[in-house]
Amino acid sequence: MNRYMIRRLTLLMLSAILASSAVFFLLRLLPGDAALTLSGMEATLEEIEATRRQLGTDKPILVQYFHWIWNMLQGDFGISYLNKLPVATEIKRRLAVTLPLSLSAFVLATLISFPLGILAAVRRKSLVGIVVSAGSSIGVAIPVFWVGIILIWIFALVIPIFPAGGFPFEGWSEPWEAIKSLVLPVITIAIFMSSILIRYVRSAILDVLGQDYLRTACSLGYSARMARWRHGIRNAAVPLVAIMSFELSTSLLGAVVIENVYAIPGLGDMLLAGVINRDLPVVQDIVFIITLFVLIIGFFAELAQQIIDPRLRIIPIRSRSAAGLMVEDKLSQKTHPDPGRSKS
Amino acid sequence: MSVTTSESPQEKAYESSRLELNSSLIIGGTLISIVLVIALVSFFWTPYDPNDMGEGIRLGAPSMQHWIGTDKLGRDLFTQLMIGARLAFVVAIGSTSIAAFIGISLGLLAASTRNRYIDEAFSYFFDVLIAFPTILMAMLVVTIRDASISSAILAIGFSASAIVSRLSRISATSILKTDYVKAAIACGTSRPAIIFRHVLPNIYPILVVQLMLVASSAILAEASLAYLGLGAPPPQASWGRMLLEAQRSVMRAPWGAIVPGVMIIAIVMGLNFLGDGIREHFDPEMRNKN
Amino acid sequence: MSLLSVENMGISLVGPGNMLVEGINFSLEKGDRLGIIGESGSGKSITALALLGLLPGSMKVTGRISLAGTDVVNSSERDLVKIRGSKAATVFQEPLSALDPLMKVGRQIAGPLKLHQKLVGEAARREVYKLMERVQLSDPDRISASFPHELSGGQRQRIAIAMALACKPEILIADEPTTALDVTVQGEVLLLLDKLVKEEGMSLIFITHDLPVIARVVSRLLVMQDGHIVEEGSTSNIIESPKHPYTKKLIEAARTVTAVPYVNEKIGKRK
Repeated sequence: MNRYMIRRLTLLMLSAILASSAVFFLLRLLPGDAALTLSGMEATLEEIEATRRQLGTDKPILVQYFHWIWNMLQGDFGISYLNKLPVATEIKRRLAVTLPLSLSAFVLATLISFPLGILAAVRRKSLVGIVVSAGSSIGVAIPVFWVGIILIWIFALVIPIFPAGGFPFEGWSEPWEAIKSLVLPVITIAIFMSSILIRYVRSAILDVLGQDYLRTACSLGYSARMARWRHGIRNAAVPLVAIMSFELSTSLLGAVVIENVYAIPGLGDMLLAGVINRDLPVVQDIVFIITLFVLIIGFFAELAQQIIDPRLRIIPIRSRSAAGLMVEDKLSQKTHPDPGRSKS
Repeated sequence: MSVTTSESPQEKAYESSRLELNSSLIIGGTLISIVLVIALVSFFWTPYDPNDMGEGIRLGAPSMQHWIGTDKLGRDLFTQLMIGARLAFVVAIGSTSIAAFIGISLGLLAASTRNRYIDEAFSYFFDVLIAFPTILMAMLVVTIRDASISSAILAIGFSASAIVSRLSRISATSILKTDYVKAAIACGTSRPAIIFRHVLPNIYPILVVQLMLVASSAILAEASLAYLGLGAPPPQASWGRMLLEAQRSVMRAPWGAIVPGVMIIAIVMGLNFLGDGIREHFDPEMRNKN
Repeated sequence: MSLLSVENMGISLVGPGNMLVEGINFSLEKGDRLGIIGESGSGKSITALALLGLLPGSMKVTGRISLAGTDVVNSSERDLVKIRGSKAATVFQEPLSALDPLMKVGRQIAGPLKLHQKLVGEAARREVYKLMERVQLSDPDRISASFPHELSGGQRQRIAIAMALACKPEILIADEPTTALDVTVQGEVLLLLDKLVKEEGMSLIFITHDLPVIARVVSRLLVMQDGHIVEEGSTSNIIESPKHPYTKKLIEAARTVTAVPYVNEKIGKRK
């Protein structure tokens, strides 16, 4: 196991470096000189040079890149082009909003989709199963922000229970207000994610239900339910872990869009402002952080799977067993793919 | 359970190439046709001139003059809806084409290379790309270039090409391992010929299904971008942006927020159902699963 | 009363469709050894599954199957659970998929032990080791702590047999148990089954498509083709004087390819 952990960790770091450099260099494709734009039209050459030195753009690109990485490792995320404030502090402030938002959405989505997905699989011929399946077919096609808009309309405007947006200025020191502001966003993200997840969960459970070892258990005298408890759950856990990691990453990204719907001052909102204002340090830092999160989540998910499924430990990374392939499949399908196809 | 034969799936496919309509195909086809018709008609006729700067009442309710009402500037919403349909298709086709072109060629390249290291390098690269979220990619591209249709199409297409290439690679690899391909190689068939004559005809069903899903994701992604203000700028009508503008006044004029959303749902669902239908058509075994 | 009696059994797909299997009649007494032989698609495997009510919901059974007094066709799931394992246990064709890939095999054997013989803890562990010894698996410590994919095909099949034995069934149903194994291992597993059936005093239903494989192990044969029984009789009779053209073809084919050497004598007797 140790050799594998080392190999996976190195790959993780390699991926992080690759992603970060891609982001960094991609953004540097921007035509125009940041220093020039920031200094303004009236600046003299010396002033522009001074700004350049300040921003560090007078050095060659590779050096800038290493500076960026080096500083980040020490917690210095650079200075925002826009308001000249350190990015790190702002990110910390925003994370305090975005993280609870995503995590709550993740938990809620799991609580909704897992039971419903299992239900849809086990009772797939009955009315319940069909309704759930049909529901998720429609749900998958609904844009997340539209759910938000409709929810705002109904629960914040027509029936004013929750605020239509925003987050208390005092932040979490007003816990009740903060929670109220987050309820609708959390529900929005959870609904959106559930419709995707239900299909995944259903498909994973269906796969397990069709396996031979369940038939063996029944032939030996176990009732269908006992067989599922004894064998089904553990085997279903492998793809479900993959689903959950995908879910966690999605909830983070969902937050990016949703924060805009509800005018919540979170990480996504900061990123959006950075994009609109071409605030490079902000954009590259946040993109990097999010990507890192996604990679780390994936790493731990894979670790968990290797603990559950001994076959994944022995077989090298590229040539996985059917279980592993199915898992990779789930990881690879991003927005609204169809999980009806389980093995490629 | 299944008996392996050296009969090429092409031969089996000939049997099923008659178009049997299943319910998914019908539903999907209907939904897409409706939206497609709206989009096509918009080239010839719209209730109002799209460039009208709004003569109607602001946020007017649906009426005989304005079938879905007007937006906050008084422009007819139905007109915008029709033109938005155009954009949806353009984005869908554009992104899917890019994803298909890059994805399939790179995937096939990776599959047919005999060098294990190149293959692994490719797969690793794609895995990283897949992990990189589409929205973020789109935001990056928009930061570099301006917010426009082409930026969106490029970003989404590029992002989706990762999945397509991975799928192509995996499918192609499995075809290349079959007996009849080995026989073809033994006969001296050249590599390109093998790809075109044996690999492509056998993997295209799976790819078509995946591309349908890419198309539907692309529309959703573009709608999200437009909603965030990063999509095509005005006056180009976009359902996503219509929703953005409608949100402010959703209390007074809910229809402006509901109808574009419904359209998005319709076209995305249509594409999903079409994909399902195509998959069912090509792989009858899967019919039992659903 | 027979241990197992099948009267005019038919299997078809639910909904309009052909009969997959029709007009099956046979019975089994205690100690009988019955072989069902036929090629792929002849319906032999689903016949075996039907005996314990293990067919998928998409299939429907008609006729009468009476196993140890229970009317299988009309029984509820709860009644069927009572007879599965304890009255008849099955060994399947593909041991890799028949075993839970995520559970150590020792625990998989212990399962039926607890279920049927109510053994737990140390007593169970001892019994697991005893069973492993009986199926000729050496090094029980290592093997019982292994996962199915870490073992060879022959070892896996032995584990499956041990699991079936743990139920102490009256009938052992073996559905192509050696087909997925290497030729060299096939003979060993066959001999093992032969020995165990004798020791336990079980009845045996052995299904295969390979005549030389069962010629020695069973005393009676049912030949199936396209869902029907085309010939039945004692093994020696059928081999020496086959009546149905299909049976004749089977025997001819067996003569040219005899994978299991020691049954050559039986086949070789014929001209």
